[in-house]
Amino acid sequence: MAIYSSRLRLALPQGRDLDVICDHLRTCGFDLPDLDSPGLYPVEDPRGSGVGFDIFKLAQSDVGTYVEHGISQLGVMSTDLLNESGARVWRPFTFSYGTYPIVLAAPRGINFDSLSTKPTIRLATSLPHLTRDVFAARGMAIEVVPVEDSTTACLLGLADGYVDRLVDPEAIVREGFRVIEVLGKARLKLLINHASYTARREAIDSFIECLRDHQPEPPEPIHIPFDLDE
Amino acid sequence: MSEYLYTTPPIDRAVGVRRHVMTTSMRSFGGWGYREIQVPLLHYFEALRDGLDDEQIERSFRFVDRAGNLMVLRPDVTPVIAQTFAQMRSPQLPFRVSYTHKIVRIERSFTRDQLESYQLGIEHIGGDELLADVEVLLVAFEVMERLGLSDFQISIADHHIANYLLKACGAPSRIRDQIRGALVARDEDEARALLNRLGARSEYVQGILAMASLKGGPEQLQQIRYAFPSDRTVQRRLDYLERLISVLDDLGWGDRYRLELAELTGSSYYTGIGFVLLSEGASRELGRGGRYDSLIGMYGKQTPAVGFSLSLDTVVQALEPTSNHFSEAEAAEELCSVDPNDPVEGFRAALKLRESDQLLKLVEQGGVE
Repeated sequence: MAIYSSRLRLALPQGRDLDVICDHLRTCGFDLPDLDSPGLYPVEDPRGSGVGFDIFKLAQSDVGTYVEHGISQLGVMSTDLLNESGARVWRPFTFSYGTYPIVLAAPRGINFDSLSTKPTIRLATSLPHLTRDVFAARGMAIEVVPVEDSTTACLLGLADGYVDRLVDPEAIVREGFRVIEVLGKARLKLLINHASYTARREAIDSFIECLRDHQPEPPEPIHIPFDLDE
Repeated sequence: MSEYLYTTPPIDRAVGVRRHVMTTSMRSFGGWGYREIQVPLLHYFEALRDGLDDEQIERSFRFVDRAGNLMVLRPDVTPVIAQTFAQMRSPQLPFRVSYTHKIVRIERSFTRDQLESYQLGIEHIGGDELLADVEVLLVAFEVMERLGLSDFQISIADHHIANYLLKACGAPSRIRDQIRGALVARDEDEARALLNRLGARSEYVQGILAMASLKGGPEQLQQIRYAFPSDRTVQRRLDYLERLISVLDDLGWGDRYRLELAELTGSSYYTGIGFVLLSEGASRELGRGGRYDSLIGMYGKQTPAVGFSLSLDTVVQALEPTSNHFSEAEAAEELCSVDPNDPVEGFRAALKLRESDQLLKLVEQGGVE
């Protein structure tokens, strides 16, 4: 059920991008401490528009659900997880950071041809819908193993390869994996609840404008460790 | 007998709010000349399927009956009414009907397993496009106000212009769906990337991105007009939309609607205006509607139509926390005790109270209430 309040709630995703998002908000005038503990962090009228914010952090995959149901009017979420959740929200702003390739990876030495010779390709992933859609569009039968930690699933033999966001290329190389193919990109988006925007258009427009004006320079693209590189 | 005050448990309150929503809505519909129609819950799937899109079919419940026919429980009321109308002999136009019906389909919810829900709505079949569109929107405005949804807003889009531009930009059907999805999510970056990858001509990129704008408003019409100065189809449609919003503004509803050309949600049978009813107190849309000029033609003679429906559950959710529709009645309720060993006197007293329409509650004498 939606919350009536003159304040705006902003849900941030826990994890790697949280610190960068907080820094971005600070440049927009948000007097925001480190979000070390759970709970709401009130920020009083950072834009001088008479609207305060309550900021809180959530598991990355939950942000869309909170915004869709109006518990939080605003949120920040990656498009790969948003598509998996199927949450019906608006996503009018793309952050310059938080862009990661979504890759098909497998233990070093395995390529697409050797995977294709298997009677069934078993792929571990935290993105089961995307994985099914990509391979169904190619007419390939695969077995999706839905897990949170897809590299461990591969290392222990539960799957032949995995589909996931590539965040730390060095880590996957260390674990003996190489990228077979880039399947797409995950981007970090600002989410808005439709009805909340209708009711609080000015405050939300002002927030987006501020995010846009203080958008940091995009980081260097992530180096993708294909087998061919070695 | 004594004055009896008690706190209504939440379930009773929700039931009361449902009744209030249904009564108020149907009274408004009737006030505009919409007669109530009853249509069956169970249908032959093959007979209905032309009016259902892929998503509706996917979310519907189908089964084989004892004679081997594939049956469907109605997932949407509008195609059923369209089919019913198409089978009528020479109905008088415009044909106005209202309904309050259960639908059975998988709805998005917290658990994603909500199957049954109620729709309340109207269909206006035949008649002049502008008059019918405005009339249906006025009924929607009235119902929202009479239900006490003080912060409601109606977002109006146009499926005609969206369908035309998406088709004319040369996108194959799968990409069209992706662009439409990006528009609905107001994801201008995604829509731009899709159009650029497609190699769409600059006027289409400009026109379609004008629809994706978060801010909405009549400026969207100007931007599209500017992008297609010599396209007669586009210009005629923009003229129509400007007339529509000018009539709504002149009638004093300017602060209750907003033109949002990317509001392209809803069934694929919409061919003209489409709109959604919103309130911040509801987590989902309160209702939606639009023009469907091709749907009836799938079952019989082509006849233009427009309508809208409310989701009873969502309206109740929006009203329930602040609703006071029952407190007065509850406060006036009297407790009337009946002795199980000699019940006549107690019941007689109760009947006397009911003759004057007094609200009462019977309790067992000596029992604990």
